[in-house]
Amino acid sequence: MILVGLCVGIATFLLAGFGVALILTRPHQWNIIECVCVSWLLGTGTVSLLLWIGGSFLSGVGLRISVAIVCALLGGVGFGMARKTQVRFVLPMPRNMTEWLLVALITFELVNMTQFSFENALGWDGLIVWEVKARYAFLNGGVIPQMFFTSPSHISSHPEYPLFIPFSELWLYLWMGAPHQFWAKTIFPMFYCVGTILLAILSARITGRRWIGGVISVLLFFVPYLTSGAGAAVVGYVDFPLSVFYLAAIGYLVSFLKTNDFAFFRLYAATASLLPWVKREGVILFLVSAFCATIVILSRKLSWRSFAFVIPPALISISWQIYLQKMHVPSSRDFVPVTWAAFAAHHDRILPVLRVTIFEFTQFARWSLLWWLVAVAFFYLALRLRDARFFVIAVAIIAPIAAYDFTYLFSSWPDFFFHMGTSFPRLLLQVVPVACLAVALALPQDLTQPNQNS
Amino acid sequence: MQNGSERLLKTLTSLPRSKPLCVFLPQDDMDSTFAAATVVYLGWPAQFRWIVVRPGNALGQLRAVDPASCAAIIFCGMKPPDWLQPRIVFASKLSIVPMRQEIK
Repeated sequence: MILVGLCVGIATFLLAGFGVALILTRPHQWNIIECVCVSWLLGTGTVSLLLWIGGSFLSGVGLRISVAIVCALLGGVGFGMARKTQVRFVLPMPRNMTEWLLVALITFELVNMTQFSFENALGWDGLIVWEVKARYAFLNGGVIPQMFFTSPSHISSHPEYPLFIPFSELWLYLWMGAPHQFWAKTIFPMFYCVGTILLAILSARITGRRWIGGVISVLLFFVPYLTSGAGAAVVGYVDFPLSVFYLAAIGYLVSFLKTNDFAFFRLYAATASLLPWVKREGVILFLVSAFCATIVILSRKLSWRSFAFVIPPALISISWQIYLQKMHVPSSRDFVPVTWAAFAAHHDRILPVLRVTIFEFTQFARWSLLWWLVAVAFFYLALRLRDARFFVIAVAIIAPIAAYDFTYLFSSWPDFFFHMGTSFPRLLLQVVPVACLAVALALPQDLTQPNQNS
Repeated sequence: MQNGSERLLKTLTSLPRSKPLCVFLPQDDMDSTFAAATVVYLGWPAQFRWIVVRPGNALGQLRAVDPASCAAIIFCGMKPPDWLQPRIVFASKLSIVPMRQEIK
């Protein structure tokens, strides 16, 4: 029964996500595998938001049934729209030996990561910060007890963090009928698979070459931190799922620049909207992506209505803050308030923080050759491809890292080096898939070639 | 620890819920902090008081605890003094001492 519940839970994510994707984007033609990936991202976001909102009014079976009905309705509307607008779903097959080999390698890597995930227990944050909320909500009929938010016992569980991962896990628990950690881990290899496949598809689309997408996706597996670090993709941390949303947002924005197909801009808006809901740092990633989108809107002279993309994430962020106030959640103690006085008091940290950042880029054991490749790609692209695609990807990589560095000036930890050491590699992980896009863009390609069907 | 979660859960649920549980753990020891956080995770909805022990001051901080104010003392990453009995040992550095006595 547990496996049946798990399958139903995952199917509901996909159904809801498919509906939202079709309602928002209305594409003419869609790669089926890409559609499943996007449905996973939007589905987990939608279901976790529905559980959070629905939990304000309902609990227990009522909450589960209500959310399931909304998911079914979204899926039904999505299928209706697909039929009405005659969306053509396609499954592009590999066309030569190289493409078959790349598909085989990617499949092998995905199977391996799935196996790693089930062999590893949840890590510190995976258990103490994220899964704990799913478990307590499950034991309380699908709603996190108010006592949890104010309990000094659970201050290390960061009750102020958003509920995307906990409520995605909760959804599976509700369907399985038990808070079964082993099966809840299913969602992390799913995010890895979605991230890898989207990286392949988006890289192929923005470069016009399928083999580039395949090669970049194969190389992602060789970033050691993804498989073995404290914040690895397989130990229940949210940084990799956040990086996948960020990849989708930036990738679709660049796809819009390349193709002028407004469906891609809508996909950017949909995936970027969920960034603040996935993790607190998602606000920074959203703001960076919104800056890039603003440049795109202005440079392409799009309608002012395109700026509506900022409304959903703003609503999510404001609603979350109101909810935290209503629950009397104490504010985070990791940082002092950002004021001029605090900056003046800590400005002597600027050089040490930069030194740690550069040192981190060179950590072969965590990143292998990734950041060296990104540096070479930047240098090459700056000389060869000074267009909006390069600008968007460069800003999308550099700005979040600079913003994260800036936040350590306001760290309230007695030893801010220790604070940086425990969290900075995970923050860097959030931009890794987008950094891979930069490497893809720098690989040899025929820029005059029309888009291939990716 | 064989069946650690089950054994911990069984012990934690047998303790009175009217008082918090005190968790003793050494300062700046990530493994002990994780063990303590796991005990807190399993102990829900019991309330816990985190007592981070400074080097060389364990006994002083232990004596400062009013036995009437907590249901048990949980030692994570450290061993309780030999005279503090009875204790339920889960691992070499994880034990629970239900509070039925004065702390000498």
